[in-house]
Amino acid sequence: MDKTSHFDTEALVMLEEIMEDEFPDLIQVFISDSDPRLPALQQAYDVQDCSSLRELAHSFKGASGNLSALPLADLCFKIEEKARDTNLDGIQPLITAIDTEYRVVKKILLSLIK
Amino acid sequence: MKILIADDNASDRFLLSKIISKQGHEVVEAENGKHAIDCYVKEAPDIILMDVLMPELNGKEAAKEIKRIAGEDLVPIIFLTSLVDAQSLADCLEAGGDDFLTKPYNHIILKAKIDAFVRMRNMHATLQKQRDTIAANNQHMLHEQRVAKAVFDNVAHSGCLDATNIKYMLSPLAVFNGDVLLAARKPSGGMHVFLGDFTGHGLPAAIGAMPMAEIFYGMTAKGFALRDILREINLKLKSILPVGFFCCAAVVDLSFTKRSVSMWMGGVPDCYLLSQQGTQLKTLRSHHLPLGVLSSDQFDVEMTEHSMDFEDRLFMWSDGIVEARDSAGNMFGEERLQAVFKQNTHPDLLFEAVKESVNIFVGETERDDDTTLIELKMVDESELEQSELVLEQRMTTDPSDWKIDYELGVDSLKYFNPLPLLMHIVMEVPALRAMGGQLFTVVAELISNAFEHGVLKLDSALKSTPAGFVDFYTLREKRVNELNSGFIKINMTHSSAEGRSGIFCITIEDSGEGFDYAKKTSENKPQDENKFSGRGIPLIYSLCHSLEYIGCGNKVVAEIHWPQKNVAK
Repeated sequence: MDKTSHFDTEALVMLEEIMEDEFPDLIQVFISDSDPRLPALQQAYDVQDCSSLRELAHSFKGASGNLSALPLADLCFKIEEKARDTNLDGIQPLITAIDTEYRVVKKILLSLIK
Repeated sequence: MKILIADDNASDRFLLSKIISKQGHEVVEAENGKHAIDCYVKEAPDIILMDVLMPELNGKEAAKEIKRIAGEDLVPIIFLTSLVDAQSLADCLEAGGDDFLTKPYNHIILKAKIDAFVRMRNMHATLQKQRDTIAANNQHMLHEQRVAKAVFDNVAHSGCLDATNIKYMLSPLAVFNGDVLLAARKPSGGMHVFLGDFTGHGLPAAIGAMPMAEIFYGMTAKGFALRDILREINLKLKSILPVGFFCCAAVVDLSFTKRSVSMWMGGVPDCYLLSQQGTQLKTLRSHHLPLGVLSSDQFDVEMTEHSMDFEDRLFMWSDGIVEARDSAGNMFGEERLQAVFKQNTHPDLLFEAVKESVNIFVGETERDDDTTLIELKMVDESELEQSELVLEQRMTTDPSDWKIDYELGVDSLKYFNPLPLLMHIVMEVPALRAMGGQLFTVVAELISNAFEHGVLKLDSALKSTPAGFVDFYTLREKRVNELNSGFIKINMTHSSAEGRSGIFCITIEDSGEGFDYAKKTSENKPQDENKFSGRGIPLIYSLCHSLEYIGCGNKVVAEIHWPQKNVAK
């Protein structure tokens, strides 16, 4: 798996240094926080709840950004912007893309803490 | 430092908490805005890191509430945000945030920001502590000044600054800018006025004013001459004030009967004497060093005499008038002051004109507040309200029945003025105090007769011409110097009927040869009242219940009754 297309690797290394032996805990917290976000995003889109969409995407963006998963954060930001403008066009493909990207990110993160 | 992290994102909180504890701070965590407020109240963190978008209560609302609770305490709030547009960031600060930190976190910037706020917080705490100390000190000082002012007012209260011939301006806390204004009626008639300006400000300036006012009022009430009072004040100030502290003063002995002022000025700005319905302006200049500088043997009490007609006015001020400054820092100056006097303002309005002119000049500038100004007008003494010699209901400790024999020998006669001492004894009787002026005149006149005409054997007829006047005093001085025998015996008695009425009797006997009093009294009919000479007997007659010469005329008995009903004409 190519880390560089899913992470800011430099930032990721620095993060590992900062967290020291608590790095695995950080990954676990991130994953347990993020896992429920995907069904929640889908649910919000299905009922066309723009404000929920926006909050979920914003929060997800912040968390993934801090773990230097920048492509994932960018996808979240796109949903956040559309939801802010109550524009639901093209949201479904974005949710699908986020789902795919998140799976990769999760896999890479878990591989780091084995 | 204790730092509160408020973020709903568990992984963000975890990361931030790790970074901050690694920097050595204690961390408290909250997962929404409401929780953040509770934590703030419970944990009293020093700095708060707050996410903007949170459930329950968002970061901005929570920040507002925390700032409200904090009041004057500084609680830096740093907003955590992944929002990047300028308006969103500005909104964070608008809501009471002190700074923001954008996600993803850069731990170097985070550390720098926390350090900066720690410095700011420490500085703020120091500032608050110092401010509280200053406020407390100021409170304390004002309280002390009020107490000291009350004490000073009690000391200075016996004065007559409110007499109808006086206008004055004095700042409410004047005693603490070093300005002093005192005025007292003399028991013999007339008035002493004292305008003083101590060096410096505040308590050091005020402290000398207390004994000075005591001396001024005490000695004036006992009939001491202004020269003696000045000498005493100078001696007192010289001995109690530290070097470099002194009192500039303009001191006035205002005589309503002679219609003149005697002035002593030391270190004060020129005073103005306005006469001839305001058309003549005379400048009076200070010739002495301030009070409290010279030792007694160097101190000069020489006074200058100026005649004053009715309605003539004397203006005196502390240097605060001339040195009043406008917003540009220019001084009011003597020229502007003189200009006010040259505007042909009616004399009655001049005082206000000077005040107004200074006020306009100073404008909005903060007043130094040490501008003291006084105007004295020459009037007929009868126009003044009865000096406040109120007969208080006193305890029975006042002397009512007493008698004193007092004999002066040659040296005492030459060098000592017995009047203040005698008046002091007389003034202990409240009813006599009320007649102080009259008694002073009688006792002074009789003693001077006994000395000049009795002991020194000077002929009063000499004084019937102006030239003779000069001869009289030359001869007087000569005889005083040569005096080697003689005496004056004074006997005073007072008796009272239950404090409702009384009789004061003074008998004076001298070592002289007496005189033909029967002839003298018949010569001195009332129409001769304005003659220069005549032993002042008509005057004394008018003041006493009875006046009787005994034997060869070297012994005289005068009686004064109170309350006064039948004054002998």
